[in-house]
Amino acid sequence: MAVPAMAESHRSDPPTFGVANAIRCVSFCESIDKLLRHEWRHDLCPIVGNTIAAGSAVRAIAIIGILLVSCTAKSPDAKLAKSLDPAASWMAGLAMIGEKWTANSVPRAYVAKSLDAADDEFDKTVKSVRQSDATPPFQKAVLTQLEVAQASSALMRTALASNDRSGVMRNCRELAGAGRRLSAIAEDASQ
Amino acid sequence: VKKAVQLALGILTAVGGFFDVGNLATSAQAGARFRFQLIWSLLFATILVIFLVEMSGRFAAVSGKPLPSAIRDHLGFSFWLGPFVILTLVHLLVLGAEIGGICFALQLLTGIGFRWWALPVAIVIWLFLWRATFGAIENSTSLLGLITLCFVVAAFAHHPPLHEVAAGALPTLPVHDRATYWFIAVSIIGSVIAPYLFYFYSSGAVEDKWDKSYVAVNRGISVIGMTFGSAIALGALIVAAMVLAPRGIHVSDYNQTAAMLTDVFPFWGFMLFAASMGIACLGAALEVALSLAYATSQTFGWNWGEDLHPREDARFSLTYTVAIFLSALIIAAGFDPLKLTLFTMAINAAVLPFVTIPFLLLMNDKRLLGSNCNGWFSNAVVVVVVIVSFVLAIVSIPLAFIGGT
Repeated sequence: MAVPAMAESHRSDPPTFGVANAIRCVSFCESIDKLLRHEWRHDLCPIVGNTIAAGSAVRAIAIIGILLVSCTAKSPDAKLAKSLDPAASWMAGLAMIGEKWTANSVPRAYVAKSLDAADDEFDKTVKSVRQSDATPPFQKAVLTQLEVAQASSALMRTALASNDRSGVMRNCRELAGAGRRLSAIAEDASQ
Repeated sequence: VKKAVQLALGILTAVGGFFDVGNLATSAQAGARFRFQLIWSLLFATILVIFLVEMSGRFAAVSGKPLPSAIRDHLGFSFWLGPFVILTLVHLLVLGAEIGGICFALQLLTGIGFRWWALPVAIVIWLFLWRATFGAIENSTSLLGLITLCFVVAAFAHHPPLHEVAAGALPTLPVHDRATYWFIAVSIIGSVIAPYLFYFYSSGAVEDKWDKSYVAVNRGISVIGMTFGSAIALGALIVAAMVLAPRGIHVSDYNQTAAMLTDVFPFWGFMLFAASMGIACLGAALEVALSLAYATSQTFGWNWGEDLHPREDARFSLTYTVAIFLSALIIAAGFDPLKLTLFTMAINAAVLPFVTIPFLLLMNDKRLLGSNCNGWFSNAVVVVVVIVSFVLAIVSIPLAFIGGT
């Protein structure tokens, strides 16, 4: 069967490593080898050398740090969006843990501990949203989902205490939905 | 026959002893956040750990010396002091992370908060080290550690898309959360190439009285044991990718990982997870505490040996006692065990040059190793991987903090 012309024009030979590259690679490896075998290792790092090396390392790390800070400057909304991940993860996590409890796969004490940890994370996130410089509409959208999660978590705790499996399942669905919405809001703000 | 039995036992203990809190945390996060995309970093680290473990065993078998005392004797105390201080601090952090893992496993099983378990766990670890012999510690915890194979079983049971798993073996750039991606990649490398492994392994070889005839056994243990051990970490990554990622769980807390086996083992999954975590971390905590005591005693020329009575190596026993209780304090103070683990594993990768450079210098010393010196290929592989890991660590750790991970 003939190969269509278009496909033919895009075909190229597979990349080859080449003898020259192989020689270069071997000679690089041999230089490392020679370096390691060199006798200077017995008088390595005298105090002066150490101080100079440490000074240069500190300077290099400081420069990298400054470059990184300047390269990662973000808008307040994007900054807040980045910090929402643990809360969104907890919403999804609680939904799975609750669902597993209704299937008798995990113990009640574990669900209760998870609810405690998730509530702490929701409270912390609400506080950080209120203190952030993000735009009011963004803050409001985020707080709405967090409030849904807090309410569902409280209801799930009650349902758990009274062994109400359908109540737990209902709140699992609420939490999963809130988690998805919060992730979508955060993703929009990050882009 | 004796050597074959030792090889088989060595492989079993290497597989059972491979998995620890660092592997669990980093694999779960990698799978949950990036599905199969970070498998390459696990493979990358496994190649290096095979080389390094093989070298540390070969060195001990041929020279009859463990690493720290050989570094001190041949490169000088002042040369070794800097790396030793850094490695001691890293050992303490890793020990804290392992104790945190045991405490969390106990929280899962009992419902009592992990902080309350820090002191009892420290006492159990200390008692174990005080009373047990090296062989008992090595074999019991590592063989029990084979329970972690449940992650491999679960990974197969999920029928992951093989083309995606295979594609993950090649490094690719992330499309989202770049800082987190590189930070987790570095943490995976640090969790597999934990420095304590080499000191523990080389001192263990001396404790087990290895000689030149064990070079082949050592090679078999390091290649087969580390490869299968890393398969457990790969199993955990695949399970996380199949269970947690589709639900949008990114693992910001250990609690979010505890139910990850229940899709495959609905009744036993939770208990299996807790038992795997507890046993793996207990084995690793014993190894880290011993490794710290070995390195300290060998650096200062004290008596050392887990098979000696504590009164015969009092300073060795005092070192692990202090280390265990200091590390337990980190957990008792309420540090988040997951964050501590991830941070510690990234630091492990950052300090790799301090571990490997003195080690490589010794491995090329013909007066010590004769014909068992390193070849150019081993040198090149280790140098290249260490440089790449170090650069990644130096760039990604600050990025991850700035990015809010």
